[in-house]
Amino acid sequence: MEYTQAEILQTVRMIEMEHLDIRTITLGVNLQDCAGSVARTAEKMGRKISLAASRLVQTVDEVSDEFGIPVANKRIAVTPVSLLVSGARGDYLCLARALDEAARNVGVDFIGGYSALVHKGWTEAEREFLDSIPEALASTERLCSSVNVATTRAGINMDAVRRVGSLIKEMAELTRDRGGIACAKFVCFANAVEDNPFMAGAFHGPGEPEAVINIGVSGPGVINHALRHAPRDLPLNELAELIKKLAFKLTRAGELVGREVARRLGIRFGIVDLSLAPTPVPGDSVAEIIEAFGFERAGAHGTTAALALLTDAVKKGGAMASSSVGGMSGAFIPVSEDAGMVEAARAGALSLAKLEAWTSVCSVGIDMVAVPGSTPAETIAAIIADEMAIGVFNNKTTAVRIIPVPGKEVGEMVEYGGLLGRAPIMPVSRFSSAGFIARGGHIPAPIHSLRN
Amino acid sequence: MVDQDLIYRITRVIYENLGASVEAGKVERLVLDLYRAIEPSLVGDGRPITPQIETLPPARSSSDRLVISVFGVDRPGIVAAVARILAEAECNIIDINQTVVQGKFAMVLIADAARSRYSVQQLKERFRREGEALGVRIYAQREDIFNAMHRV
Repeated sequence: MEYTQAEILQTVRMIEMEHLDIRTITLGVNLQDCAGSVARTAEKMGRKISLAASRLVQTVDEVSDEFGIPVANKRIAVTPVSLLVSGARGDYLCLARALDEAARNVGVDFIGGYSALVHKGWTEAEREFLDSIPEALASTERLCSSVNVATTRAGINMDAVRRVGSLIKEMAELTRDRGGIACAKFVCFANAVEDNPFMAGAFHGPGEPEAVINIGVSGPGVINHALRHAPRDLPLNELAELIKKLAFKLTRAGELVGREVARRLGIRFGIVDLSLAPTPVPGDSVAEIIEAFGFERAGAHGTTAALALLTDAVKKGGAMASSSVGGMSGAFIPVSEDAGMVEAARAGALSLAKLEAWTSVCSVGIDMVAVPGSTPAETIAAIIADEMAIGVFNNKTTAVRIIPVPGKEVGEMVEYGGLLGRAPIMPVSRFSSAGFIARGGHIPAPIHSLRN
Repeated sequence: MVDQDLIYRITRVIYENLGASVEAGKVERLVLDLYRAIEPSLVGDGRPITPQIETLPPARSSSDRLVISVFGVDRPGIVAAVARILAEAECNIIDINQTVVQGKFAMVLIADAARSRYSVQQLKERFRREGEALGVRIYAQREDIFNAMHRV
């Protein structure tokens, strides 16, 4: 037999018992040819998305069934909408509604790209566009938004950081009755990637082709299972080797499915992003992986080192498996979406400070963290500034997705249900950062940005 | 592609005739309606109004072979039932490997589905129903997945 029974059993076990799945197949669509007046843009992009994505859901379901690998989500990423409206001013909300409706019509669960790239400054139209984001997210269901406020080459646009801090407060207020859920659909980036398949931060970058299939593979359950069954005295370098081999297999499985979907749709295949993305299901947790290294709780001293090893091993396994690895590729550490993180935060083991430290070595940033609704906009902006600095000065992508839950205080829980899970309200520093944020301006790019 | 220049010219004519005090929202709607009315007759630059997406020619399809794995409590007739479904579908069995350890049945079978009378989905549905009747789990997956995951 060409495959041993053990190999076949391993694949079946990964899928059946360890929640191996393809977290998302994301169709990127370039909408640049839809630009015009706002009303006309809305109409044309609706038409283009229906045209490009009409067979997406059906094709993904077919391929998923044939290979026996579940695909959790089908999504669409579009050209940052702020790039389409720079010449036309008007009611941007009609664009938001058009995207939301297009997503509903083709049956995808999220559509990303109500986004702006303002890391070095903004135009008048972009500023107005930013102001429309809270209402756009509060009044739609499937729309996601992101703003890139910093890059290693450009530095940090602190005016944008300050503005985003207030926008997040507005989003929370507008969706007060639903725990501030609009904030869960918004992310603020440093060094945003153009081919990220994961929400809420996916958009179809300006350098991307007409249409592209990007794929996000997950599988924390697989790594978790392997680490828990490894001998307790196995040295860390051997654990790294083990993770690398599994990451290789996961990436290969994902790329195969992604390429087959792209082939059947006649659309170019972009990248496979191997990110360990947790779900609230027990066992499918990045916190549990960290704990399996030998910690009582995620958040203990030493967990930054363990996460660094994990992220690096995942990237190495992925790079060996495919020449099309892109996106974030590493480990996600969203609090509400990871049952282990929730437990660690409730037990007092995991603080915002430790999460921030983790983001210097994991693939993204402060993610799905709930903080008291009374947190001032300046404090949220300051949390963003810290996170952006980590990304800019370490040449990596970082992000902030934070929810100041209206009416809730530290110690309470907020429930979102589904993949978004539930989160404990975590404490922020009670000391003010207002003076720093009020200065505005721009943090210059670091010296190592001068590489030419 | 919207003819921005034409929109600009229409807007200018309206303002010239009605004066600058006219309400901006009204002008925008009027311009839009006028533009839509004349758009079908515009020669323009010949580009289609409906946005296009590029489609690539379909590449080579992947393998037609299926890996069928069966796990569960042993009882007579499991191999026969799986083989019968494959025979009815005109799928050829290429390789088969079956063991029983402590009453637990495990079988892996590779079948060629190139001339199958049923789609993979239909076959899977038949296996699922048969598995339920026999009290075993039957998985059918395209072979490529094992090749991708377990071979460098």
